[in-house]
Amino acid sequence: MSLNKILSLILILLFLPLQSKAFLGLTSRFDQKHKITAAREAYTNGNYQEAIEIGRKFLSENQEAPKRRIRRIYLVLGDAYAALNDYDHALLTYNEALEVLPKDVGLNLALANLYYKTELYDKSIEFYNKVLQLDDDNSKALLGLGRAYLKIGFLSKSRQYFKNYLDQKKEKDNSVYFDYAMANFLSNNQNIALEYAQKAQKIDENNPDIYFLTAKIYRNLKENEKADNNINQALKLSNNRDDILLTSLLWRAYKQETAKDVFKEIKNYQKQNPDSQLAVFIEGMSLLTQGKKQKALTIFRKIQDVNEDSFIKEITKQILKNN
Amino acid sequence: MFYRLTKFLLFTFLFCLLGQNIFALSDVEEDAILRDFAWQEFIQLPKEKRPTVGVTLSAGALRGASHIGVIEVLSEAGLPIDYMSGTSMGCIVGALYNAGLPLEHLQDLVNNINTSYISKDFNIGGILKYLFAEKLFSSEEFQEFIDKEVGSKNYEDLPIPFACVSADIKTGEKVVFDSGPLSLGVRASMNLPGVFEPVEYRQRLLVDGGIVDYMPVDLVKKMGADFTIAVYALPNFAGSKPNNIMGYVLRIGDLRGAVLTEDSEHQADFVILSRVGEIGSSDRSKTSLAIEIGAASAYQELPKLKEKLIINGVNYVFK
Repeated sequence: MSLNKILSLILILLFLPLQSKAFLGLTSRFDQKHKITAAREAYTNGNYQEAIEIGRKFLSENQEAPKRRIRRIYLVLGDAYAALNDYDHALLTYNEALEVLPKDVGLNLALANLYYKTELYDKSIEFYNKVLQLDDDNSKALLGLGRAYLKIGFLSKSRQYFKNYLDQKKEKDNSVYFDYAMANFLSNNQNIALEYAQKAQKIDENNPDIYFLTAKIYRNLKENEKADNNINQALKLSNNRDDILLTSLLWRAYKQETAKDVFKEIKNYQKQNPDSQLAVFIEGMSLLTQGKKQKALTIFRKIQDVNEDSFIKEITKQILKNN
Repeated sequence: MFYRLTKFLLFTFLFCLLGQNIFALSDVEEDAILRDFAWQEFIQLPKEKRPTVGVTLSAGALRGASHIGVIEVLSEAGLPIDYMSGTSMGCIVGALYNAGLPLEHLQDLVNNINTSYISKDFNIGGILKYLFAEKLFSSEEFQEFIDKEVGSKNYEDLPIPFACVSADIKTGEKVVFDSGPLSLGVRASMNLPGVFEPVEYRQRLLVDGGIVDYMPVDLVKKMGADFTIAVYALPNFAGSKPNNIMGYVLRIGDLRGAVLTEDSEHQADFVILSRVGEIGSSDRSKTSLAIEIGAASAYQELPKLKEKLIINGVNYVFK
């Protein structure tokens, strides 16, 4: 055997363990990728339980896996729990993931969104802010903060974040326009509210909620004809949805010119909704507007017979007391 | 799935047959419709045709930053505020808001509050004098700061009649400021005893009003409010120990305040509790959170507040 062959053999023998280790590492990486793909596919196909099982197994068997893979599997796991409405486990999963990867924007955002969904708005604000600390113009966090502040009623902050989002995102989004219009409507900034409600209307002409909001804005701006047109459109699009219908009837019951017509309509409504206290109130209101005070008071007395306490009952009680 | 769908369709069919609306609104939803309607009518009424409203802001040191959030929610809801009163931090927020400072600016001021705005003595020399020469800090800077912010206004110049409370450390009397220079009354109202030198004014030595009237509801009543709203920055001392001398001084104020507010709460027609108990009285890093909590607390109470006010003005709303 020549010296060259002997040296080659020694070299092969020396590197063999390293190569086998590399080979094993390669198969392990391949296996991890395969499992992540399988979990993601199970999730995409709606097999959430299967995705959870794969994900949990992955985490128990691959604690040394690269962080980017751990991140991916945690996201699949959290999403799968959330899809099953198992929010407790979903929250635990994202929190667990953030212990490993505290500065991950995607995980912080996923947790913030989930807190928002579960109506833990103060926590969602905390995590959206963390996202902004990591990525200061993250548009999803800006939008999330706008919406979360709208829910807790801190409207100046809500408007500020919506504005930042709208300045940054140029594409039209009717739901954002609607929410921004709502934040301004609730803050009594009726002109800005109207501008954005109309923008939302232009994108979605068939959404009754947008017309309903526009009607309320016009009413606050004392443009009653436009308010009536919009609420009628909302009624048409929603096929006479109860909240829109009762609001419309209430507005009309309060007006001299329309109070008489309301009386007939509310009677029809009561046939289908015999328990509606508001319908009885509107009936009484329309009579009161027509100057039929005694008849109105008789109607209001009907509400006093209802057992449940309500604002409507309290109002009528006060009206009866004062008359 | 098929079973569920069949059950749902059968259920719908049966109800339709009976002529009932299965998607009928709940009582809460119906109440909300009437409340929103009546509120818009209520807030448009002229002052003489509705009950007048007085708002009182409690003391509470930096926890009282929550009042800014409360005021924002109330004013954006269109609540007419006809009279205001306050003590200590409540006096500062009330005075600055009433003097026309935008709420955003007020938030910035409180969030960036600096000890140099309050006293020139908050330095090594001042602290040494405080500790060894028993010389209290001066709060003169604060008066200048208020003047700079509001432009040397008097109480009489404010759009909403306003009063705040101070205490005479010599006699224990409650001293009410509702006229004269705004900044003087504000300084006297927040002049923490044991920390700041008393303000000498007309033979009196004035200190923080929180020790005699933590939440002066009676003042807005006296001014003429038919309906009073008390805003209380709620302390929470359960199980926690103050960290420093300032903490102890503020804690004494809070404990005394808790006793005094019991009576004030009973006097008020409506109480908004800002749940800021977890925020330290001198924790400057959490003023922003306090404002947020104040806004959230007020927003949560807003439907009930609107209902109470509408009921008070029912004869004007439903003529």
